Amino acid sequence: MATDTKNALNEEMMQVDEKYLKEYCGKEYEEFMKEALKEAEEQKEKETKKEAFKDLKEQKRMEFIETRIADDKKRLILAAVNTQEGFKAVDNTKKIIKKNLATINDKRDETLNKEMMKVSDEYLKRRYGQRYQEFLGEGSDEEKNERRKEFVKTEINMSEKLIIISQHRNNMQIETGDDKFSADLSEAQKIKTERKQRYKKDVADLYADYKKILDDNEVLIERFQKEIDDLQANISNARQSLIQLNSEGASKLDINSVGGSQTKTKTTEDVEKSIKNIEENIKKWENQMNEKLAVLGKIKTLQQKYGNKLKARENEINTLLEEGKIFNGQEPISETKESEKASNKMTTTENNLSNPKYIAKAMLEDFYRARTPQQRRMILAQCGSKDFLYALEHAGMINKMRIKATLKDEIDNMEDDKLVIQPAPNGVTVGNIKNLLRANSAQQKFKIGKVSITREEMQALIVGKDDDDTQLDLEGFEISISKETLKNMFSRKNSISDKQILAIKNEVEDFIKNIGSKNMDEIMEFEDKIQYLRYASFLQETGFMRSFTRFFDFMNPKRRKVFEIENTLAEYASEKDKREKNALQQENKWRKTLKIPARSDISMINPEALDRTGKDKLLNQDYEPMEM
Amino acid sequence: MDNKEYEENIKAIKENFKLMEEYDNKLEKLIEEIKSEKED
Repeated sequence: MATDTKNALNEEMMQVDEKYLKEYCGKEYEEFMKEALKEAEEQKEKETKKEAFKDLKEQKRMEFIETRIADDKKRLILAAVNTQEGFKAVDNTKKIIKKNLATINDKRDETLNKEMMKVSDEYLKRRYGQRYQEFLGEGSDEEKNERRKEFVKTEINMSEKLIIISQHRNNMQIETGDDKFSADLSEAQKIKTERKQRYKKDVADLYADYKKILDDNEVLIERFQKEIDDLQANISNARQSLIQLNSEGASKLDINSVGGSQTKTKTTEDVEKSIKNIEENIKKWENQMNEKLAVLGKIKTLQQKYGNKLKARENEINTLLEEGKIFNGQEPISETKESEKASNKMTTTENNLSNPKYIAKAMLEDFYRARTPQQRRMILAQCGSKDFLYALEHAGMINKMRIKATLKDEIDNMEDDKLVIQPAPNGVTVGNIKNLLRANSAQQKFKIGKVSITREEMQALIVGKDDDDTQLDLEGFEISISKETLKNMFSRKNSISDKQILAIKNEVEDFIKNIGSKNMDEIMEFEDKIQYLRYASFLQETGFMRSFTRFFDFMNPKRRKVFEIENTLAEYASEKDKREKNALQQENKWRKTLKIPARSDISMINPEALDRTGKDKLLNQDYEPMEM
Repeated sequence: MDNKEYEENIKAIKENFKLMEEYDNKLEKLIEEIKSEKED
């Protein structure tokens, strides 16, 4: 053995805890050390001798290792020590993991549930309808709140929670990094990640040690095989010698010998003796070889058995890696696969999106075939107008007729009988009005906030008010538009005034301007308010000749003004769409954090608007347009 | 290889089989535990 290797082995043995030397070398070690340290032992208590005693002990231990333990035994001890230490580490991991396992998902769920409790009651009522109301039942606010917590905890799954929470983030929260929730979620997941990495390390270590022992054993078996080969060679050589002795005979030997007739007699005896010896050796070696061959056969069978077992474990480990139960590097393999799958699906859907008619037909088929009347109502109430207008624009006649009937029903069923638009918020002063009038002496109409006010009305507002800083109350200038007017606003027989049109336009534009900072409740409230407008504009698009009449509407100034509202609504839909895309992006980031597949089912008809209790599987499917 | 060496060799091989059995059991248990863990 090379000196370096031998030294390395000894050094490694010196790292082994003394208890293992006592365990594996027993009395021999203890007596050796006792004898070697006999004199020094008596003096070790003296302060000056303490270090010297320690050094001597180390020196003697090395001496014992170098001189009293065979290299094979050293390897055995090291393997056994490594096994014990390795197993201890695994047991320790298990303790830590067990402790974490009990709390890890609780912590994540707690974070999700806490955030979910910020979602308004109104939102949950709309999303989960009667089921939620029944769950809450009757009782005090406190009791209801407790049941709400329970509903969030038990009735809404994790994926659903992520959707709802992401929808409730406004753009500002996302852009400014107001993201304690994301941080908490990452923290909760971090423990899980560490746990998986720890598993990976333990599995990898055990596997590597197991394999090393198998490989080491292979070397020992080869050595054993060589021993048998040597025996075989000895036997062959001996047989060769026998043949030689028998064939060449004693006379041949005489020639080679020195001496006279006496030599001849002696030589014959020697030959016979040699033959006898050789035959005895052959017999002995053959016996030994047979015994060893039998042992080798058993050893090889066992070695093969453990080789197979190791291979089976390797396959199991690979499965765990593929399932993402333990980490392969930094990322679980399964996640890569999921994202690839998602990306493939997206590509397929994107390809289908190239044909508007195809999509429109599929969307409306889906709307009527796969949705209950209640779901249809929810889609109409909450889906992005842009999607729906797009579908209507490209829909065929039959579908347009169907949707027209549905929209008329919806408008008739709406409860609010008017749309009220408040003017600007407080802050308009007498001075502001005076300045406006002075600066635009020829102008007859002015825009104050969301409403249009005439010069006369402006002047009436400041009559008798001398202090320029006085704030004006604009309450009386609210614009009210009746249900009937709203229903017909897009028709040719409409009775809507320019003032009303401007107020509506301003109302929507003002909301669009601030949509980034609006929360979900404000959005729902706004959409409730403009519901008539949305339905009425949808209804307008159901006309068979719509693409043709649109041209003439553009030529008519009054009609053009009305249809500017439709454009504003489309603009709102587009902004809302952006907001939803941001939310989806955020949601998918959380999904990545939690190592769950990204959501790719972005249906044209907004699936988030629907009840996702799990009863309707269609809602969780990817959007797949139907064949024409 | 003398007799002593031969004995040592056989002993080492047997010890290794014992260790491999222990490793196999340990690894099997660990894999089972990981497999049986629920993600959520």
